[in-house]
Amino acid sequence: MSTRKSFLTAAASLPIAAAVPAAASTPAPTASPAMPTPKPTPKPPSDAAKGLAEIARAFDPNLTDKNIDDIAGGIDYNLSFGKRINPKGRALKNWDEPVTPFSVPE
Amino acid sequence: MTQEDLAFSDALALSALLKKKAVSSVELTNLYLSRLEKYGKTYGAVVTIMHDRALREARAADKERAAGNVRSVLHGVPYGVKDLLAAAGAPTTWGAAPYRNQVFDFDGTVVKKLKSAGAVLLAKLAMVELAGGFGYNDADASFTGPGRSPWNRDYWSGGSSSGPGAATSAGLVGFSIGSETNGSIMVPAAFCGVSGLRPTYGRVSRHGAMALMWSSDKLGPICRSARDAQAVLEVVAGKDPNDPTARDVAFKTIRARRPKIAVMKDSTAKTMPEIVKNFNASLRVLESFCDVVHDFEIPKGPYGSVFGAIFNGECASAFRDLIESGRSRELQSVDDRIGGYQVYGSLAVDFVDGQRRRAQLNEALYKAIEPYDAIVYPTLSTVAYPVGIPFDKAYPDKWGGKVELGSPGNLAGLPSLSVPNGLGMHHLPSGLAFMGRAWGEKQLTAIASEYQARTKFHLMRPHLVSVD
Repeated sequence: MSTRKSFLTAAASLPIAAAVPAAASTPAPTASPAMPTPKPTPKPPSDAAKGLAEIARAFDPNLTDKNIDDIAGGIDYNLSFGKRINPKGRALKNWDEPVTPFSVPE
Repeated sequence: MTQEDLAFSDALALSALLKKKAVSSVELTNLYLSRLEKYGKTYGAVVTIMHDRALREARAADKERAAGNVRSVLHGVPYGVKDLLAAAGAPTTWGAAPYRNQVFDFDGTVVKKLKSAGAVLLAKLAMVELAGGFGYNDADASFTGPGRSPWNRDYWSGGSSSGPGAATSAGLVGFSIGSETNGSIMVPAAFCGVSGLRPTYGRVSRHGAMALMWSSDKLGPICRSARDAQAVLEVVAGKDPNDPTARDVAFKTIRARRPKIAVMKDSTAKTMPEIVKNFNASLRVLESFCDVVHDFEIPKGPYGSVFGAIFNGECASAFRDLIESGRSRELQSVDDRIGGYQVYGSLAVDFVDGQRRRAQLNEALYKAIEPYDAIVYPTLSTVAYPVGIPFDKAYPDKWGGKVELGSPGNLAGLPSLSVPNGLGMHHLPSGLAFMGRAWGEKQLTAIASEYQARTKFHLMRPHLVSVD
């Protein structure tokens, strides 16, 4: 086991305890800040998204309930990214490092 | 040569005229200043015209040339920068009302390098507010109004480098500097019929530029020819102590006598017929001097979701002060007024997972494109969107159906170039895109320059109007 990754690869043959929920079957989102993106079909926002959206009232008390619902809809859309990044927990293993690993200068 | 011919010459042609003393930098600068005054607002292309600085730099350039001191191929050539880049002597508004009075008393590194090269800064050019970071859905998303295509001002000039695209297309500048996080150079280049080059991530310092997504922000040239794009890039490239990502890396060159290019599979799906026709005609030209492989497939994503998760975290952090101040309400686009709160509500775990998948996706993409000098595809599936109609309602039957390389290329930091390849619906330009290997910009500009030598689409000029 010369590297942490190879050690952890071997360890991964052990079963994991927790089941991972399946990814939502909504159309694949695309993200493009420079270009407009297709918006998801409006549907009632989730309670979790509504809760997160309520934070915005602290920054702008003039936001309407419609604004909060629209913010929540966008948050739901953004939350769908997470489900697609790692569908069924299969794409990422414990040892998969981010693209920007931390390192200590010599 | 008429004044119009002069205005539409590419930067290297202007450079040759300056060298021959057929024109002076002051004459060129006055020509472009007058055109910026006449057409800049008509096309929503300009924020601030910098008369004093431009003429001061032009006089200095002429004086130096007369003394035999020519700093670079861009010596005396006038240009404009997207208004997200700091330049002393003018506000730097980021296209957004909350920042309309923001002033930096220094030049960003790219402006500094161009000044050292003897180029003349004419103007701060318009842009989509916050470079589109808060999710706009129509052209009217800048405090200076919508960017308009010089080919037909009822249509958008593209974003978020709307001003650089329009000003270059309309012959209001010799060349321009734009920026791209995910499409902001390629889109206006295609919509305005000009040559836009998105450099490899790390090729050009972003010091002095607005940050939107540190791990994907790039500055690059928007020009009237591919050869210009390479010339400008070579002046602005290189390491910078003020941007730790900026590096000195040699330009990769084409590895064989005939460049090897691959055509993206399904790249014309759900694409306007005129754009398909132009693309197929472009392929015939490319086949005359390149070895062309068809049906190239990129490794499976999910690129959009990975890009989105990382983008949300970085954008929310970059604009946390604006979001928490409640001043998003001052933004022009109604979508942007709430978009900041949407990215603010994203999850840290999604951001980190996005960075983990990015590592996997990038590795696979680098490997897949390694055999080729360029991957080609139509830059966009439609011509420019109409002003005044939400983007997602403009061409609904063409939306989202094609395989595209925007998110994959930007996630991987790869260079890309869009050049005009004809006209489509409403007499609006279409674009031909080349994506290359990391640090392979010169491969792309060499292939595109040969394409332009054989086609001349880059010489097409829009018929301009002036509206007060």
